[in-house]
Amino acid sequence: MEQKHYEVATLKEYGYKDYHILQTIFKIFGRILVAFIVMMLYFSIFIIFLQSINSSKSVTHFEHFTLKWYLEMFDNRQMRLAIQHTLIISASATLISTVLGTIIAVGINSLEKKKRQRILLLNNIPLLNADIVTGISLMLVFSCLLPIFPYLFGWKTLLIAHMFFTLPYVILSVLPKLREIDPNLLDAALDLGVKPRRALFKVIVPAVKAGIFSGALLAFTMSFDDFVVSYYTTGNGFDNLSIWIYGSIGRNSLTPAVYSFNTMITIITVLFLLTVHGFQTRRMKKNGKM
Amino acid sequence: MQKVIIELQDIVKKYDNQVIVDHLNLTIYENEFLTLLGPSGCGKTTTLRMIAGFEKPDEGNVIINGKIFNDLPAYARPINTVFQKYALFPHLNVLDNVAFGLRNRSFKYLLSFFGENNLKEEIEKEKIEKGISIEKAKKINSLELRKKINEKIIQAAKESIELVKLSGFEKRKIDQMSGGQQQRIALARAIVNRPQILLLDEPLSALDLKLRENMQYELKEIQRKLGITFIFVTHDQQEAMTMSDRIVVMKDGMIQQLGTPKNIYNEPNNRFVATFIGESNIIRGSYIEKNKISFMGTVFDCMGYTFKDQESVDIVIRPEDFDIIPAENAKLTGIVTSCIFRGVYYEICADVHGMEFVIHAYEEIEVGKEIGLKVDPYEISLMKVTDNE
Amino acid sequence: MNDSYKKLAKPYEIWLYILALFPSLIMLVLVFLDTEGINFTDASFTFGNFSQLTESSTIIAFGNSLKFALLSTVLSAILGYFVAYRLFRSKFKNKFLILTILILPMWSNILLRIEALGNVMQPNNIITDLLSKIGIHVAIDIKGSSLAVLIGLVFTYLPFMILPIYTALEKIEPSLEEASLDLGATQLKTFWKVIFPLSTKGIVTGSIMVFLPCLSGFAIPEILGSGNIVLIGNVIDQFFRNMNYNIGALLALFIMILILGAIFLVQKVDKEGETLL
Repeated sequence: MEQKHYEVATLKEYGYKDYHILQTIFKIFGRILVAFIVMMLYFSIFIIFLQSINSSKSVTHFEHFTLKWYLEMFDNRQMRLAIQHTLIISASATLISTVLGTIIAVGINSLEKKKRQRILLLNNIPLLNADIVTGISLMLVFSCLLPIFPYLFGWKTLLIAHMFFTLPYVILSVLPKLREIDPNLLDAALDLGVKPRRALFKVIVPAVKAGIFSGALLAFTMSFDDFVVSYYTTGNGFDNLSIWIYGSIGRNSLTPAVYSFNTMITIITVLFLLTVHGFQTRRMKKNGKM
Repeated sequence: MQKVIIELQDIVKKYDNQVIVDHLNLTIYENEFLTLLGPSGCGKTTTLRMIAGFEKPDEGNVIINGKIFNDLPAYARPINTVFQKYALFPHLNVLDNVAFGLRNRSFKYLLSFFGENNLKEEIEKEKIEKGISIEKAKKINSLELRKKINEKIIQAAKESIELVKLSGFEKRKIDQMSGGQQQRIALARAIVNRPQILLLDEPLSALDLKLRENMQYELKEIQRKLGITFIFVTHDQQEAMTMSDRIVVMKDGMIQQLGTPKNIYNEPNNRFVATFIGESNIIRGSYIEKNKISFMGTVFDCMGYTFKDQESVDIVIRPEDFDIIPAENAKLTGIVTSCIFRGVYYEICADVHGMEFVIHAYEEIEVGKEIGLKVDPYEISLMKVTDNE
Repeated sequence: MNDSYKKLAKPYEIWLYILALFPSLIMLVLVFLDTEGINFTDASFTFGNFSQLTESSTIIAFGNSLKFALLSTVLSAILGYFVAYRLFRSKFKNKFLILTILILPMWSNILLRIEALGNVMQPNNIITDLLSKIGIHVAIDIKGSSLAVLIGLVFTYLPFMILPIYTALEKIEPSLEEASLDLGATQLKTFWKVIFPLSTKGIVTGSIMVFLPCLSGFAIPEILGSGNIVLIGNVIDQFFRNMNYNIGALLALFIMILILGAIFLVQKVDKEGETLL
């Protein structure tokens, strides 16, 4: 075969300028900026980490490296209680919200368009309302119930409050996945004689697993980190970690042990997520090969 | 001789070490309607995407208008594409979708696109009509030119919309249009830019049969009218046959056969082409000498093929090329195993010495009857034996 | 979907009526009363609470809130779009991982993070101390300034901007971008004419997710502003802490009206709550 020699076509011939170099510069600049922003998101965590390995109680002066705060993590009784409360409330609120939220999402998804949009509008209120307004609102409702239940404020109100603002996250995570389900799938199950309730757990739940998981993750995150709503809805000395920290900052009596606790939580989370991610990619690779 | 517009030179494309397009060579001429035909995964869409500029070949060159285009981005190529799912912009209405390409071009490009002198003349004329003195009318600033170009773009878009028979729908939103209409908008959006080459990636696959047949006819019509090169990708051999000037049959990233629809149908190169395009009976036989072949223990006449004497060959006989004759005076006989009415013809399956033959006939024949088969020498086509089937 | 599932949503609707709508009614009543906390026994009807709206302290606090919320939203929208776009463009297509990278900081207590940030905004801090040990002497002193509050707000709420924008970008059909390039629009034109308009949904959602907490938050300005900068959240908090529920409710209702406006806006651009998460 004869090989003719051809010229290379240029952008100019077709009426375009060559912005190649500019694009490359922009790309590099973009990477640096993104790296900087992500760094800034983690900056405070890094400071907390530094403070947790500082032998001095001072936050302005680094004395020498120590792990003693990690050992004394649970020595402070108040802090220990606050951590316990936080974990109990977050875990139970997440669990209940995830289960109920999934069921509710199925319910919402089966509604007619108009009704669905109305309930979604209401569902946006806890999500978008100012924390302080949510907190005050809930406090007012609970206050109205005080004459009937005098010892209401405490873990009960805190749990209801946390469920109130975590449910929307679960619902909004599950709904899009529900919409992706092939409607025939459910019909097929029902056609095969499966009862609707059974079909819910056997057909729908497995299909929206990913949404439930991310919803639960978001719910836990929001609940674990919440300060303002908890601040207004708890009572009878039932403090969670945020409230305890807020109080300590006000009294200037923050112990470095809380920094170690925070760092430990971060490390555990990272490890947990890395494991999950590792499993996922391994499974993906395996599936890819098959 | 026709002018070459695209040349694909020894193109290789791999994904994750899997070869999708394998040393492909292809020359495409001006004004032709070329179809890339093959089953899914044969590399036809990838080839199209390399021509469009969405993928870069790993090896080889894409040559357009005599220049290497490998590294030129999609936007700079004199090519437009009609996408499989149309890819219309949901945030724009029909007119804005169609005008999109021209509106996003540089001023300089548009000046030459519409012809600078042409534009100036028009502006001048309009001004004079408004009663402005000739001297003043001759002074045209760039603002006026821009205004004129905008008018021209809208006019061009409207003409293009008219060409695809959608006048009156200009202000509609995309999601208010049916699949068939969206398909036409996608076509209008591409041709308004007057590309040298139009690529069509299975554009009809989402339409129902009736609409598809109409569009096939219309596409061919538009191509003839505009005189631009169409490169059409499909897996539907019927579609390819109806519209194309030439067909490229592809499999596993390689060209199996290149030719006119007639040529490919009547003289398939190999078993794959023979079975992919139309129905066929393929029988192993041997080439005895010039114009003599033998299969199923009988010697037949054939025409126009040259092989080595005694070489083993594959013989292709299309179902409609058999004639049914009384069994007594036939070289080949068989027992009818089924007979199905197919509208214009009956599809008859017959057992001929242990092999199943498909025959199209115009009369019904009852199952179990013995029939004789006759085939004319010019209706026998021979292929080299390939091992890959 | 099956009709028998419809009733599953009903209890939630009631729950929302009781916990999300009913309190607004209580607040509405409180606004027109003079009560001792929530105790209605000595309640008397009054319009006096409304005078608080014209108090200069309220107006300043409200102005501050608006200023900081707007500034943080604009800044996070620019930074957030940039990050979301680069993430979307990167080969890194694992949404789960992106999600976790962005929400991981939230697993640390927000107050601790803000306090830590506040610590390094003082001239003497752990970083400068460490740096001076290797011979670098720097000092920044911005704690208590508007800049400190702004930095705190932006980097706390930025993930809420990035996620919806990323989601919106991800939902854009890749063939639309190809179509635009194919039609002769350069990358830059393609971005402004196709990608950006189709991702505005995410920007609107993200902006609301940032604007609202910035508007009403009180912990961040209190810690980083060292008490110099009073936002409306701080004012509301003060009133409720001092058991003046009436004026507190009035201000809270005022914020709520703004927020309801925002919710309706979200509902308009995003009827099914697609980009909210």
